[in-house]
Amino acid sequence: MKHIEESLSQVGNLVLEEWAMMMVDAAPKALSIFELDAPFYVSTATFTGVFCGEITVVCQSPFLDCLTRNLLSMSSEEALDEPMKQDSLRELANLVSGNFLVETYGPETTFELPRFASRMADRKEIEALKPDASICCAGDGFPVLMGCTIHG
Amino acid sequence: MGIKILIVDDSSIVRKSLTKTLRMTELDVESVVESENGQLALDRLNKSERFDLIFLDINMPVMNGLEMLQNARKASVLGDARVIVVSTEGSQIRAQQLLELGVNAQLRKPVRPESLSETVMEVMRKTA
Repeated sequence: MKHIEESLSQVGNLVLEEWAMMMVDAAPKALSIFELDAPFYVSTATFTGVFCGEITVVCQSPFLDCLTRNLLSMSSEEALDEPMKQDSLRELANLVSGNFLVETYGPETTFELPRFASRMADRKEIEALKPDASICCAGDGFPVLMGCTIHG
Repeated sequence: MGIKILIVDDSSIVRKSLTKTLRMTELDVESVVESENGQLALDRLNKSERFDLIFLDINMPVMNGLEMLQNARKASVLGDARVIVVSTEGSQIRAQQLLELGVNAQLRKPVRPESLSETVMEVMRKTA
């Protein structure tokens, strides 16, 4: 799974830096990087093709606020609504999954990305997530986890 | 007269940021219309709305960008619109399908504003 983690890391950095305009720092691969008692946001992008699986992005409100404000060039005084934040998260999962698949399996392989789902989750649900491979990093100081599960 | 633009993407964040970037280019933008999936975009075209430039995502619910383009070509409702695909798609097969459907340029997300701006100017110049 090392090559999958390397691809995830490379793609995660690219997307957060180029698209989200965030400063990216390494973070320990542990749930303790999050505020465990605060709500989590989870977005899952399902892919099908030669392999089937899903990419999962996990973060919390401060990360999503920062991401959404960066994308829309909004100041910290302007109010953000929940649909905007969910939309940012879905698009983040879309960018990570699309680029991850090309990076990992090459342009000669075609995948469909038919389903994206975003939801809020609590600590228990996050602890139960067991992706095959995952990476953690911080965007503008706020933690995010990206995971990949391949079903074969 | 400025150009009329249609942006087809299921993400409102993407539509908003694309609009912002386009308004910062040298393009003389008359209007920007947004559709959140291929079907809604096709409905506009079927109602004889015409655009000079269409930005099209591929992975969208209801009707994806490829189906929208196939249907629009079949119904001959694209008019003289130039089409730029902006998506996370990176497969060679998909790129070939899009070329065959007459797409003018394909950009893979994430797209830098400078790169978007250059591509738009090139596509508009080539087909002017």
